Amino acid sequence: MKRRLLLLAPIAVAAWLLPYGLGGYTMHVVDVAVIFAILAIGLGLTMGVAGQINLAQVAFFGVGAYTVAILTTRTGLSFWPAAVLAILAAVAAGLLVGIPALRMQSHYLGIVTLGLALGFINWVTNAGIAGRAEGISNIPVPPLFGIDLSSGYLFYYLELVVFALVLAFALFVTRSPLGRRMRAMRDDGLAAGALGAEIPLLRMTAFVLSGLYGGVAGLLYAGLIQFVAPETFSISNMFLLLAMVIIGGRASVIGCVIGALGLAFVREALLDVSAYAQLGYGIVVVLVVVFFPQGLAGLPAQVFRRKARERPRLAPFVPYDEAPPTPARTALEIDQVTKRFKGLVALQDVSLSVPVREIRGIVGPNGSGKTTLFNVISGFYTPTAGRVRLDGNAVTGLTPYRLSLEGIARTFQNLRLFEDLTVRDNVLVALDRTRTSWIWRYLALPWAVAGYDRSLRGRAEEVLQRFGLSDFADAIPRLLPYGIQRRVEIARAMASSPSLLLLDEPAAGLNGDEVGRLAEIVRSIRDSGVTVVVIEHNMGLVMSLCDHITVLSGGRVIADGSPDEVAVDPRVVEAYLGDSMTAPTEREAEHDHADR
Amino acid sequence: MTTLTVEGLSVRYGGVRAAHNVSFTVEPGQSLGIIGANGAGKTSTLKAIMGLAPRQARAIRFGKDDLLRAAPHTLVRRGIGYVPEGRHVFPGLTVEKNLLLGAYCRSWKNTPIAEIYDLFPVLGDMRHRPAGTLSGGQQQMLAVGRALMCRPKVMLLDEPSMGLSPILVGEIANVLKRLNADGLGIVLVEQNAKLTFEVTTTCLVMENGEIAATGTSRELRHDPQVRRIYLGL
Repeated sequence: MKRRLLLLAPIAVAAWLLPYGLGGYTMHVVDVAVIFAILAIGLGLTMGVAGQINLAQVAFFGVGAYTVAILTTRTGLSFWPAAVLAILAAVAAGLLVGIPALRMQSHYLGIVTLGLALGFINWVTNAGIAGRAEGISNIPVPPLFGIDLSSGYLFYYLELVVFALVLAFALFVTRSPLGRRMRAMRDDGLAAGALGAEIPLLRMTAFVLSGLYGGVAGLLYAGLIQFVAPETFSISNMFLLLAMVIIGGRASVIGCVIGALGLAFVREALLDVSAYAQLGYGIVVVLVVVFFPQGLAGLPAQVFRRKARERPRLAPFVPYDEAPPTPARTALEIDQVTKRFKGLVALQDVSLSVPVREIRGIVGPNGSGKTTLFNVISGFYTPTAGRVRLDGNAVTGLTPYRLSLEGIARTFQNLRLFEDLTVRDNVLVALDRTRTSWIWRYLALPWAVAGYDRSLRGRAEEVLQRFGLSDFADAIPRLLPYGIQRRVEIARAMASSPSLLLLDEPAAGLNGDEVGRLAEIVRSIRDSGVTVVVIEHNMGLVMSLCDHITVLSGGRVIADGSPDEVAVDPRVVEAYLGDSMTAPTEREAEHDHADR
Repeated sequence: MTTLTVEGLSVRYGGVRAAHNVSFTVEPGQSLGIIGANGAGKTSTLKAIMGLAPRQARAIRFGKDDLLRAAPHTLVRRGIGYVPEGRHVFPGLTVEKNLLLGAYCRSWKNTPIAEIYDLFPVLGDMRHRPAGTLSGGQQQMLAVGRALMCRPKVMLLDEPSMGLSPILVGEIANVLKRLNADGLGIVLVEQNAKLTFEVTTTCLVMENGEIAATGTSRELRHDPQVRRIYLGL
């Protein structure tokens, strides 16, 4: 913290002293560059952090600027009330553009946002109220305690204060629970939803932030230039903005600022050869994408490779405290659930009920519908027919994030960790149990958010330590061995304090020793009062771990009973066990002795 | 002869050493198992042989060809098949197209696709389904089948038993034994030590990125320490 302040102070002083060394025209260039930096931050938040392709940022900018222009020149409103309305208008535009994001993603979203931006340009070029192609001039100079803001020098200081505020807010958002959730959504929307992130609201939030930054930039622009015309908000400027964000490093707010300032000056330098400038940006963007995929912000990490260090080690699991016994009740009840996909029946009248604090095994041949059943329970699929009850409450058809908040957590057969987040951040995403509606606090009570984040961080260290993952806290999951990734996924699921834990093949990729430790972990989770349902092919583990086993085949329940009953059921032997090789097991020893 | 020779192979990710000084050879018809705990460097070793991980080595040769400077796809063309950990099938393409892509280095008219459907009948039943709609175990069979489409001489398999039901683990074992008997060289990385000992004749045990023990699968199967750690006995 102190080091950061030490670094910040000279930058702040330099920014403050800058105008003393500049000529009038250069000052104007700097003023415009700062406005573009604000726009770039907004774009970085939506595109880089939240992963929402947004080609309408320049339109939000335009909505802000035009709202000020129209309100001050046509209705005689004074500058600052018009500015407030401009921000609101840009945020509303953000909401509007964000609606398509609820249904589509990636390049489709890019095309739609681009279309909306073009629609805006078209409107301002043709509407009488917006001054058509000539634009609107004579926008009043913003009054400010008698300071003459028509001077580019003094306006710079207003910009500087606003810029510092919006930059601080952006940094605050990216480093807090909201920013983590947005990054989690970018990396894997499904898994983020399963951990309680309200994906639709989060996407809208990203576009609202984008609109907010566009609006602020727009009103500053109107106040600075006192003239707005359609070409400022053209697609070529949108591309410039995009280039700024990509060159700077889209996932880093500071990178976006550096990219924006840098490219704004490059553009100025290329003004004489502007015919080739666009081509130049294009080439630079391609080079950056190829050689520095993280942008300039990723350079330090690329240059200063971390020195060789100790091999991180998986520490032993620290068992949970045993919970006092609870009265017997049904934790999960699945009642006549059927799931069809276009004629393919994945589940047919499946019923099962799991009492609280039981470890239930689900086994069956590959393709028998086990994972489909998990997807129905955790809300990824809505069943075609039938009901799911959690602690007696009907939860059929609820969204994954609602079910997560109701107490269901799961792991995934193919691992769905957030690849660009550290192990610690993966756990932190799950620890955050707030609803998205909580985020008004980011504007009203930022210190309360900071305090909440601190408490989450404390608890994250506890979770990591409990699961023996402290050594891996700063690691990127993708680079970890499979078995450790599986442990991280269980830790992440448990961080959401569930009452029902669904484990999809937790022993896949573990050797005998590790399978034994997994069994220990799952038993401790059960003893802490959590009901566990586990899909597993490792029959040795299933037999020793599970209190009760349900066997699926072809989407139907073919057997249901204690491990010993199920193992000798002829239908199970025929459909599933065969006369074959089981994976490394805990109980193998006994079988082995019997063989000899 | 088309022997795969690996000499002094090391893999480093940033500052972390994943594998160090790994050496072995596999001839067509031979089978080598690699077992070890998670993080021991097994997957990194296979990836490095294929040129998919940052590597240093005294030599990696296939027959007389030097593979140290060869691009991954040329290895497939030379006759090295690779089944990556975690399947990596193309989810939007049908089963059949996934298989045909595995044969990209040969003529698409003369592929062993019928043999693959013989080996894994379930793939034949589902040939027109998108691979993403297959269950995990079926995708695993598809990944093995896809690697076989190039008629490899040596095949590297990274945990082919992951996510398979006991019956299918047995089937995979039989398939691998049959292919091996027909002259395919096999390098099998597995957590399922029992399957490994069943399929292979020689085994490496890796620990902390290095080869900690080498032996015949029969010896290792009865080694008390190996039994304790890798079979959980």
